[in-house]
Amino acid sequence: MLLVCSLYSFKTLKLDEVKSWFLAGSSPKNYEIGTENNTERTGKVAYLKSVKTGSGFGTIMQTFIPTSYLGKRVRLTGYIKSNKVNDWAGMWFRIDGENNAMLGFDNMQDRAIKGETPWTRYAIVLDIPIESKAIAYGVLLSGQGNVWLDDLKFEVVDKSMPLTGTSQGMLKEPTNTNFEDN
Amino acid sequence: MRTTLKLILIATVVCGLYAFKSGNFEGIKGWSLAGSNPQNYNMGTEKNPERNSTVAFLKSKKDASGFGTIMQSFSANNYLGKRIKLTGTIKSSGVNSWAGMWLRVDGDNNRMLGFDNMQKRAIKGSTEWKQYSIVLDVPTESKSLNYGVLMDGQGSVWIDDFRFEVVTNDIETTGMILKK
Repeated sequence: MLLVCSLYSFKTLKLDEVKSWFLAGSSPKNYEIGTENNTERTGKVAYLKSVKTGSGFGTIMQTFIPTSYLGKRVRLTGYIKSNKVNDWAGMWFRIDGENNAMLGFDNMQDRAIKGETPWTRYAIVLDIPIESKAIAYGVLLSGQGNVWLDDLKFEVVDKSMPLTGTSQGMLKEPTNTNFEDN
Repeated sequence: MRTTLKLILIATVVCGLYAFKSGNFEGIKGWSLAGSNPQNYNMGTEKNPERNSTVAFLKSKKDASGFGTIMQSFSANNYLGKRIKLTGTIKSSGVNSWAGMWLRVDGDNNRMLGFDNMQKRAIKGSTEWKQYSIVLDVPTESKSLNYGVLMDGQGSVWIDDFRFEVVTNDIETTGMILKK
């Protein structure tokens, strides 16, 4: 988690492999990203593959300004297939505030993708605090293996949908002031 | 003069509280443990027979130095341009330095726009359940209100029923006035 927090410092070189996406992580040199045609999905999919042995993780990622999502509950869904993932992989979603303070995060570590899995739709649901400045998201791979990803999508969902990760938006009003709510 | 300096010093320390938010989010819903040395303090809730309800506590561990505080932040939006009064009920036991309820008004970039930590009317030693209050103005450029109960040094404090209300301007403010 801490590693993903510091992703910004690892922005690298390989900017043009997948348009609008970049390769990052603690050890981006051990990974490569790209696109390829996939017969099981219609059209192209992106991949993240380990090309060297070594520790650490790589991720394909993107960031954007969350103006249209402020104050809302948002669900990120994406389709992922994996092969030979010897440690773990996961879709991740992080919300940053001023000075890159982390306001929300989920990387599926508690429901990690391991080994070989067919195309499966995964979801992350987080609240976007009104003071959010950036959303970063992607798919990470720790250790060796291959993951393919397709159709990552954001949508605003009803507040009744359970959150998968934690957000720490600013409270609107004093809360639990008599300590009865535990 | 010396007291003012001391107050400003403490205020500066309290301003940096965000940096010390510990991992202890699960402790009390909506509250966090912070301070200069949060690791020296425990916070939690317990049933209190005198109040017949659940109350929060802040207790020092062995040989605690520095201060710990139970705290919460919320948006200033609903209070802009208003004078507000925070009341809270506190009991103390064995407080060897001092404890106090505090309220801080922050603007952009955590610039402090108002502050009172009761240092001039500090809680010391053992005291019965008593209601305390702080009155501050919330300037229109305020961003957040931060409040809680801090304890410097060793001891135990119990806390219940914080309440915010908007008051009229004839009620005097208790904190320092900070000019831009």
